[in-house]
Amino acid sequence: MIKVQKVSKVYGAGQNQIHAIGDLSFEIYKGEFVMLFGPSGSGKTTILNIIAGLTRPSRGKVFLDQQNIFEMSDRQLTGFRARNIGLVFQSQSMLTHLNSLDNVRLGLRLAGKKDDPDLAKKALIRMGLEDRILAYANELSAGQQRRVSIARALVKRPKILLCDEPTGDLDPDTEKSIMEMLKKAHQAGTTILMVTHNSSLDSYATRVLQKNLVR
Amino acid sequence: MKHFLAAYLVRKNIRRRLFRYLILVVSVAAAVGMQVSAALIDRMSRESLELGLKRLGADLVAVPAGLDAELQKSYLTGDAAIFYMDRSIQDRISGFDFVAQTSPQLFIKSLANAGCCSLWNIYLVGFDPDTDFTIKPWLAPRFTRGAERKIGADEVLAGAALGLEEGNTLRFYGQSFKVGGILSPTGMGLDRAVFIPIRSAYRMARESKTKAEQELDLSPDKISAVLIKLKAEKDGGLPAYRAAFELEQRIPEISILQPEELAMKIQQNLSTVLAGLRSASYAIWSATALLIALVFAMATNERKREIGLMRAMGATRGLIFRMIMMEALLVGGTGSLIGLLCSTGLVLGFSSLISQSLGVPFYQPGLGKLVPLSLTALALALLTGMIAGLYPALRASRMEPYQAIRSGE
Repeated sequence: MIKVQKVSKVYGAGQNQIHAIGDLSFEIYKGEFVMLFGPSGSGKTTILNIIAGLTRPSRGKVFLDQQNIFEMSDRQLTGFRARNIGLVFQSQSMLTHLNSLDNVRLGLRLAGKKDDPDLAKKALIRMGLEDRILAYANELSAGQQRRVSIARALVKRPKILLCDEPTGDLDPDTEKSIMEMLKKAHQAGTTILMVTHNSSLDSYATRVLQKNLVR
Repeated sequence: MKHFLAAYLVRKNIRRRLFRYLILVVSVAAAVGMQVSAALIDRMSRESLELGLKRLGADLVAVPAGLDAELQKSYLTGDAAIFYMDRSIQDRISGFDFVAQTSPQLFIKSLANAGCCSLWNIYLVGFDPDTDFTIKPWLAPRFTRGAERKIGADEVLAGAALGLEEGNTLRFYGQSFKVGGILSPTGMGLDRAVFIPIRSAYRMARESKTKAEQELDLSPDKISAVLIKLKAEKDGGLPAYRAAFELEQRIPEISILQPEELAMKIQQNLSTVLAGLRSASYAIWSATALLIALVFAMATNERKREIGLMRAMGATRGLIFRMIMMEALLVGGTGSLIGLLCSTGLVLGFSSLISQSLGVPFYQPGLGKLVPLSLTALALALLTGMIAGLYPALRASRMEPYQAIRSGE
């Protein structure tokens, strides 16, 4: 389903060059829940963003459903991402001018699906946010914001869910509740790739990859 | 669908950042307001002047020596200019070869009391219906009904700005007069005058001793001004400036007012004021365009993360571009509409005050004049918004999503 082939990413030029990723290759199959472990600064976030098509690799190819995403035009890639990929970011990723419900509804609309407030509401209720439906980002805790982002990513029923440290900086209870939600999404058929430095979460994964071992 | 989505996002964004947008809207409104005010005052006073001078219908106006400036002020503002000279002067002027026609005018400040309505201190202008060539042609068409009719001894003609109607009764110095016609508007001061047949004015003065609370001291051998029509040059006439010089030389008791010269003087006055107003409005306009561009560039920078996130969620470059442009156009459009309405309302509402303080006549424009002017201002403001929003919109739409998210963190 996801094939990363000899991907490298270099930031900057000349003496200021930083090699974030070098010749990385791996595959993820349909229905897997893969965790990619690695220390901070090891390029985990970069590889996730390359797979999502949010940034181009310096070298290498990424195939999603047998399609090389970097051979697509920007418009095609945006459409592909909107329809097939759900993204959960490490840091605050709610749109601050929209409340929780509108954030989730926007996820639906950008995916080209019918704007369905009831469906969006249900997605938030599933995340335990029934009393925070109309709250804005500044009225929510970090854990609640993260759950809104997961609801927004899942509401469009993506084939692939890419999560970047979805439990980072959260207390153990919130961490557990978020992981349970991801587990449910996986059980519902979503392929998940999650990057994290927290190896204690490996029990949720069907497969674990170590960033420094992946070649 | 995507257009609705962009509009939806713009609406949500503006609601969350209302203060910033209000500041921008007010700036655009100020710039547009100044432009429209300048254009309105310029256009309408020029038009008014043209109409007013046509209404005057005379090539020259003779008044007692040294009082031409007072008459000029009176024509523009409608303030009564009361002065008299000997009636024989009209005959002396008529005696010149280059003069085709003359008609006397008599200025009276009334202690008015209208039967129909509250009017005080009306400026009364006596005219001679037999020799008049300046008043009757300007009777509003709906009152003339095609056929010319004689103005009765108990009738007066009213200026358009007095708000009178045909058939209203006015009382001056104990005598009642019926409004026999309304003159079409020019925006000049004489729109606020009542025109009375000169013989009725003399009779009114004579009978005021017994009928009025206050006597009108006016001798039938006195007039205030002589309106002069010159012969065409091909028929032995002289250019206006030479005729004026000749008359002032040969009749030292008079000064000559040249309407053409008056027009030039007013336009000079006006152009100084308008040049200032225009320079200020151009400066504000440029500052506003810069402000919009700057604020949108800053906002785009500040919203990098938000834009990156939206791109990550599936927003196309086109959607981001449309969203920023819509915001800029909305600011331009709303600001210009507010500026347009406020400036038009203020200029029209305070037209008398503007007319008096600038020393220019002012004719209230009709919709036919206002609509093209409004559309031009609106188009100009939208164009400014568009140009100012273009660069930030392009920049925002071309950002790589990941870089945008990271740089906004």
